Amino acid sequence: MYFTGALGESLVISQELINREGASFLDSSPLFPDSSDNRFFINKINVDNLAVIVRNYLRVITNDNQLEIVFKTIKFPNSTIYGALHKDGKSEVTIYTNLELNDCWTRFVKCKELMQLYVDSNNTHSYREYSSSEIIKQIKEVIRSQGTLISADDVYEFDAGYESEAIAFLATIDLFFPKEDKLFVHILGEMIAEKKGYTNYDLALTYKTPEFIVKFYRKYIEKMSMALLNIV
Amino acid sequence: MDTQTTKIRESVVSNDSRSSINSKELIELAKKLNYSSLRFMVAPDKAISEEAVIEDTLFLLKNIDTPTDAVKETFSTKGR
Repeated sequence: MYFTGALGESLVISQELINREGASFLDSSPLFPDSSDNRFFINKINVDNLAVIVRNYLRVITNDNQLEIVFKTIKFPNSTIYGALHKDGKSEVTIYTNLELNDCWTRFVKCKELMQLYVDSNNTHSYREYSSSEIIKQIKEVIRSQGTLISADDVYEFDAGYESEAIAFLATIDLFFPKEDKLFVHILGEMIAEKKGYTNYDLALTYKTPEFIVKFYRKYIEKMSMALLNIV
Repeated sequence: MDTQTTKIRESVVSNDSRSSINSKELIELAKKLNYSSLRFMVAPDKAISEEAVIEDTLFLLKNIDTPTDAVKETFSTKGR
């Protein structure tokens, strides 16, 4: 699978999730609190709600009514791992996030790992699990394929075991910019491009997401996302 | 060989040995734990080395079943 293919699949999934749950995992604040203006400006992902939504969805898919999701933080020696997902086979899934991440990255990583669960439970594509004896191979492929993902090129294919990771990563990014805000974000992006006093950092603060993710969304995801939503 | 060159050679050999030991220990621990699935996301916004990721993965596996002070639970869907 190449980047464009992964992006297409990820947008179908992220947009289906938003429509399925009615965007109930998004928290928004009124733009003008003391007025009759009902517009909302600041939207952020409520990770707790998203965790419950994904958990309930997985219970339906897997018929496992005992399934629970637990979040833990961990202080890694080198801080190279931002998040990890572990299923212990006892109806519990643990999502680890790096203790040294700031709030925005922590929120993103939690959502990404939740999306990983959601993506893996969708049978729209196959994914390859690594056996325990292949862990070094898994590490090599994660590093290599993530490099391909971040450069967003269609020259190299993702390693088979990484495809669902790429889809989950891209779907998560799309999720951070709500459907009803996409045109607004696009307009702000034009202001950024024209250097009219608004920056990617400002956008990151608005949506409580890492600036790296804002830049990636604007550069590689926004156009296709808006096209699929018929937003012009 | 002068002292400074000797120290540089020792440093290079030491790093290779540490990397090799970590990989071996990681494979053995992974087999011992026989985990059904482990997924992880490495930092997308900075340069990382394979050796550093191996070391972090090893640390993760050591803390999965027997959490230490390095691991803290922050949220659970139990009861929700």
